[in-house]
Amino acid sequence: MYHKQYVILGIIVFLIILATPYWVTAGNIKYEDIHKELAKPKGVNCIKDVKWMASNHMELLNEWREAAVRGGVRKYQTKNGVFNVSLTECWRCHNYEKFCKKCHSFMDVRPVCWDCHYNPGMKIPTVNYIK
Amino acid sequence: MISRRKFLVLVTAGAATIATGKALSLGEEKEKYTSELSEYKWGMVIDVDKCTKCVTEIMKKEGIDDIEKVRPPCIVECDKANNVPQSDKYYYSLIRLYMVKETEDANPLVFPVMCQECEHPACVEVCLTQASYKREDGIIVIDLHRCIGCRYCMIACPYNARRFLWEDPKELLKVVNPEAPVRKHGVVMKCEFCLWKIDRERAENKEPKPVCVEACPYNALIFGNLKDPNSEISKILKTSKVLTLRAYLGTNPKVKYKLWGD
Ligand code: HEC
Ligand code: HEC
Ligand code: HEC
Repeated sequence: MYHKQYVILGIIVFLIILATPYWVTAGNIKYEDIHKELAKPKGVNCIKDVKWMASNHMELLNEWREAAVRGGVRKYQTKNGVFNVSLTECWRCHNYEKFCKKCHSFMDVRPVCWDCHYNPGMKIPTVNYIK
Repeated sequence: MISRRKFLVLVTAGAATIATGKALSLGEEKEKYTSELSEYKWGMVIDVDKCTKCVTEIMKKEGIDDIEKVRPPCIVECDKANNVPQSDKYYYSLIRLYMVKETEDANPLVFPVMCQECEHPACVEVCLTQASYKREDGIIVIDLHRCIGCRYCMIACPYNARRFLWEDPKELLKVVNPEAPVRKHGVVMKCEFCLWKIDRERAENKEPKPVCVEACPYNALIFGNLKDPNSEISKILKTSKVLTLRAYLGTNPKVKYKLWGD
């Protein structure tokens, strides 16, 4: 190989640049830091256990989306009870601004869901059609 | 040294083991959501005589000439429940009223036309992203998570049942129903028999009823399961003559219009 040392050096520099995002944020974002600041939810239990919810709630919501819209499934049974398969269900126990949004802005996540789905942060009066 | 033949056999066997293992473990992880939709086929019968009476009365009482401006209870409640915005520029309501005369001097008839829930829907046929689809219970649904707002479906629909949101509903809505989607500008919406409501009521073993059916003071809209021979709608279809709109197109709608009294 010609200019072996330059090629290898180049590859190493490239890899370092590629990995900078990891170096910069490594150790900065900690779930434990934000966990304490979140508003206390109502009720005793979440849909599944807390640790699972914290890391998998987006998967659960994606699953629900499929199940509700395509399959017409609107009830979900876990060992903690029966829940409505709906994004609105979360607001029964959670505060949007002080819970979901707080953690999301800390983690720099911006779900697009509230473009179309109601959340209590919208400040529009509500009517209810399901008795 | 290992022979080529042996090497290939080993590699294939290894790959097969990994693949089956993976398939099995994936099957275990995936949760089961059991859908009950195959037991249902939702349909509606609309009593045109009652609708005509209701709408002509409103027009006379409020002095309205333009049928598009008439807002009977079914449309008012439907708009509110489904987060349909009100705008001066566009007609967004999911139900549209049409006035029809059989002959030049006949009394006009009023047909409320919403999505006809076709058995062979043209809108689904043309949808690029498979956002529009026919659910197992026969309702044509737009999965807005996939809708890109191309409006092919609106061109395809022979009943003018779909609306494109030119404006952001959040800016026009004065109240919002949190259980129904609020939607955003740039997507298509339509009547889905109040999907969010009838699905929930079905899950809770109540009698499912779309909002317009509940709102009608004259009981002109009959909603029910066509697969159940004892439902009210099945009985009506057995004994009365009904009309389907644009039957020659072969779309075979599940919304029927009842004329000529009983
Ligand atoms: C019946 C009330 C209830 C409902 C409904 C509910 N939650 Fe929870 N949720 C809780 C409780 C209680 C906790 C536990 C808080 C704790 O122990 O720190 C929790 C915890 C969580 C956590 C972890 C927070 C943390 O501090 O780590 C997430 C994430 C979460 N919920 C998301 C959701 C989402 C998303 C929905 C809607 C699909 C939802 N929850 C619906 C009651 C509820
Ligand atoms: C403990 C922190 C935390 C809390 C509390 C939390 N989330 Fe999240 N959420 C996250 C993280 C982190 C992600 C991004 C995960 C990813 O990108 O894979 C996420 C992603 C999501 C997504 C998916 C976004 C997408 O674009 O796919 C949705 C939806 C969501 N959260 C809803 C909620 C709701 C609703 C609540 C409140 C009831 C909530 N979250 C509370 C941390 C949290
Ligand atoms: C373009 C608009 C739009 C966006 C964006 C959107 N949704 Fe939806 N969503 C809908 C519509 C329409 C329905 C159908 C409502 C129904 O049938 O109850 C729905 C239904 C759902 C349902 C089941 C029923 C319910 O009432 O909640 C879930 C769960 C859901 N969406 C999750 C999500 C999540 C998670 C996101 C963000 C990653 C998201 N949606 C983004 C339009 C949207």
